[in-house]
Order: sequence, then C-alpha cells, then structure tokens
Amino acid sequence: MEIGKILFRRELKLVTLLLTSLLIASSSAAVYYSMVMEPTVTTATADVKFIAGNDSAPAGATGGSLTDSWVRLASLKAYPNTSLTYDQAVNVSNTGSAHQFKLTHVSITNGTSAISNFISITFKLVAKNGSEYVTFVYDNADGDTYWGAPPSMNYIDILAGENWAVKVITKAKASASPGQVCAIMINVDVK
Amino acid sequence: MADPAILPEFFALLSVDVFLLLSLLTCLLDNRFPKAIPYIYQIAALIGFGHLLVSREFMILFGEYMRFWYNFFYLLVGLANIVAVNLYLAVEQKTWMLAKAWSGAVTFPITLIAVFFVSNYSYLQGAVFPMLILQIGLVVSAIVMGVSISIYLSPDLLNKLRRRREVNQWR
Repeated sequence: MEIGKILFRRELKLVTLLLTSLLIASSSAAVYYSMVMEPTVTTATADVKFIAGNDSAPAGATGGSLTDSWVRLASLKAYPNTSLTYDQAVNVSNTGSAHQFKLTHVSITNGTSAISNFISITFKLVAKNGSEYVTFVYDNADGDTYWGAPPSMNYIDILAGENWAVKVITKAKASASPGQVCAIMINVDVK
Repeated sequence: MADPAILPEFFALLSVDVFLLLSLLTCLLDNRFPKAIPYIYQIAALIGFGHLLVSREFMILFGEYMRFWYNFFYLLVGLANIVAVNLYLAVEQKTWMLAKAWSGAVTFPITLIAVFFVSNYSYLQGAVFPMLILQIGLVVSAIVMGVSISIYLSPDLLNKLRRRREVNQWR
C-alpha cells in the first residue's frame, strides 16, 4: 500500500487530528489557566492618609516625618503642670469612598530618664462633626521607667471626602526639667 | 476588588475549541469537504494557541480593552466559519438534512455558548455591547437549540405538528 493512501485513510486521519486537537486544546487551556492564576499587584495611592494640619509644623510632623501611612511627631513639647493642646497635630484625610480606620502606636522615643517629667500625652481623633474619640494615652502609670503601653483602638467609620483632625494634649509634671522632648510615631490602619 | 470571573482570552480559548471541533467534524464528513479543510482548521487552532501565548506575554502592555477586541474578533472568525460550513452544506452541497442537523447540533449551541459568555463578560466588566441584542441572541439560540433537541429525541414530533396543521386546514 502506498504511503499516501495510508496517510489519507479516514481512521488514521481522524486519530491524528484527534490527538493533535487534544494537544492544542490542553496546551491552550494550560496557558489560559496560567493567566488566570497569575497574581498582579498594582500600586495605588492610599484613600485614607495623613495630611498636614494647622499645628503640624510646631508638632514636627512635616517633611520626611509625614507620609501617607505613618507620621512622626518629632517635636512635641509639654509645659510643667499645664496642658498643651495641638488641635491639628496632623489630619487624616479620606479621598476615596467610606472606609474604616484606626490609629496605631509604632514607637515612642526618648531616654527613660525623660519619662518621669511627663504626666501624659493623649491622642484624640476629632471627627468632621466635632465628635472626639480618645485613641490612646501615653502615661507613666507603670512607673518612671517605661511608658504605659497604649491599648489598641477600635476601627472608626470615616465617610468619603472627610478630613479628621488628630488632637494631641501633652502635660508635664510641675517638677519637670526643661528641654525634655518626646518623639512619637503612629500609623493609620485602613480597611 | 474581586478578580473578574473570565479574562478576555477566554474567547480565544473558546475559539480554539471551535476550530478543533470544526476540524474533527469536517474530517468525519470528508467526502463533502476538500481534503485540506481539517488541517486548515487545525492550523487556525494553532494560531489561536499562539495568540494566547502572545497575549500572556504582553498582558499589561496591551491593556484590557485591546485584549478584549482582538480575542473577540478571533471568536467571531470561529463562529463565522461554523456558519460558513453550515451555508456550504446547504447551498453548495444541497444537503438540506445535514445542514439542518448542523445548525441544530453545532451552529446554534455554539452561538448560545458564545453569547452567554460574552454577555457574562460584558455584565462583569461594564457593558461593552448593547445588552438587549445579546439577550435576544441568547433567547433565539436557546429556543432553536431546544426545538432541535426535541425533534432529535422525538422525530415524530415534526410529523405530528404537520398532520395537526393539515387537519386544521381541512376544518
């Protein structure tokens, strides 16, 4: 039998086409599957972020100390036996849809000797309608060696397009030594 | 945001399967088609495979809009071939029964599947097509396929309907 006739025999042709069809179909499906399973990560601007407030400059929350997701209040001052309030030490802005957010403590830096000079450093969130939420309080209730660990706050709803203020109230002891500076770093967590 | 249910490349995948199906069917009906036709359809399916590979490599560069249109165009080519084979059987070969069987078993079911996935994609990704046309296409394809299946499962159904019409005419 001639090779040409064998090649054109119907059964052989069908089997060959069936096998190549299976190969092409499974390869195509594998390529498509690899595309579906390929993770893609896109960078984007945060909706809820820190922005400078009216008192950011005296609180030291400017320049490299202020980013979208964290802020370092580098020059908070406290006067002896007097409360000093930074009404807008930093602001939280929501440029996207409604979200939930909370402030979290990252670090508080200073030599332990300085702690004995302070009574408390209180962070409050002030909503657009003026409502105040106490976020966390640093104090020396545990003694003058360590700052009292601030408990984590609950998530709060922030509506689209709102700006909230972060109010900081500092208070030093009557016997405080002058020149004691405290730097606090906080994060904004959004969900 | 949740991952979309289907990517635009799904249409290319669907079209590859359409070409492979055409290749096998034209091979089975080789006495009615030119000898090279099954192989040409295999090559068309291979082109679709290449198409998917290129799409994967340049996924970000091409963008969703462009990817959708070239994949959809490839699907249209596949569907056009099915219709063309149907017409070829009906007009050129004058095999009416085969043409009818082809339209009931191949043309309309595949059109139904294609319209379903395109409308699903349009719904998830924002309307690219007029939804009304897609929905009408979906309903028409479903009706034709349903009637075809009924006639296939019960060949006497058509004769019964004819008889009833004749009786009504005599009355």
